[in-house]
Amino acid sequence: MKLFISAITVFLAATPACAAHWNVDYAHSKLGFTVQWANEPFTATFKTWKAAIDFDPADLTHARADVTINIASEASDESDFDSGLQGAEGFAATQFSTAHFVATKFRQGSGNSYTANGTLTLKSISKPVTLAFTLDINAKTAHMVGTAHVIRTDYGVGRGEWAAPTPVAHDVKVDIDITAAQN
Amino acid sequence: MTTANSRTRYGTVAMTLHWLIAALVITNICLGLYFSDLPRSDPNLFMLVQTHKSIGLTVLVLSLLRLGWRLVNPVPPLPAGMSAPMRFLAHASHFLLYFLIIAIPLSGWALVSASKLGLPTMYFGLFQWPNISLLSDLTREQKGPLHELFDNTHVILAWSAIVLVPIHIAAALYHQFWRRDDVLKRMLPGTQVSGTP
Repeated sequence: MKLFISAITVFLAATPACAAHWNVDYAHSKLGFTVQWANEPFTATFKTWKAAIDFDPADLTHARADVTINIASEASDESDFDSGLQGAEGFAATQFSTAHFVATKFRQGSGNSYTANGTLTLKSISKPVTLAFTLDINAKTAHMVGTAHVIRTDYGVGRGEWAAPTPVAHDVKVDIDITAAQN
Repeated sequence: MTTANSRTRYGTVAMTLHWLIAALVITNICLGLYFSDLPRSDPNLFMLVQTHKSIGLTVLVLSLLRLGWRLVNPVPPLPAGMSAPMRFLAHASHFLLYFLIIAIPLSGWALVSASKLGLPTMYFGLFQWPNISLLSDLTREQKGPLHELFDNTHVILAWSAIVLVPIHIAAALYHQFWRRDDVLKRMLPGTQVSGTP
């Protein structure tokens, strides 16, 4: 019984961090990227991804975002680009089915802008990535819009004839737009 | 043997261009037929396509040189004994062959230039061959239907060559072994032809 009570106490003590948990509304959220391809931008989105977000603007030290992206869910208006992107010289989706982003260091900028320093793991390669975002919280609903820049060749995305910065630029802009609700 | 064509036979320039283009065209037809069936993931596909493009552009340059050389340097006339319909067929098939060795690489260059992927053409790995900027500067949306048009054109023209080249070879053999004239020999280096055309 004593053990049970102490377990409860520990659980309650841990609750404040859990209180800032946000449930992503995937139907109203988007995760994708844009890269300059030949003479125009190419944009694609990931249809399947999961984000676990703990965030309280008043307690950034306990903020945490953990995003898992299903690589094969990448889709754009150009289906032949998608098959190439997911192939061996691109994401190699059959070998590396997911990408993973974890951020634990959050800083507030001016107004509603923030930066999150995290690690992106793609094709088993982990590199630091900075996500800049704005966050608007209305009662129990939050809207977050963020961008990050990723150098695709850091992760070996684009091998062989695709390694050069033309026709596909090395700098890839990742866009994330999340609508989430608090429990 | 002379550099220029004579009344009875082709000169070394015309012969060199003929046999070089023949070898390159046959190689490229084989390459094209082979890689068009490969899956996009095939690790050799890129190298094969680059080689095909390099050979095709070489054919284009050589064919333009050959056309120019032919215009300033008349070819030996057809044997006197040929009937009018045969003469017409010979001239028409030669005209078509010239058209094809220029139009096939041109349509290939156009389809590559209109490719949405925008991969550069490396001429035998030596230097980057430019795209036709009129096409490569277009948007992906504009390129889509044009690429398809040039791709279909390239394939139809290539198949025309696949039909016409054996007819050309058969005609040369017909002249050599049936009519027993000098038509084939005058294009072969190191052969003797009789004085009269």
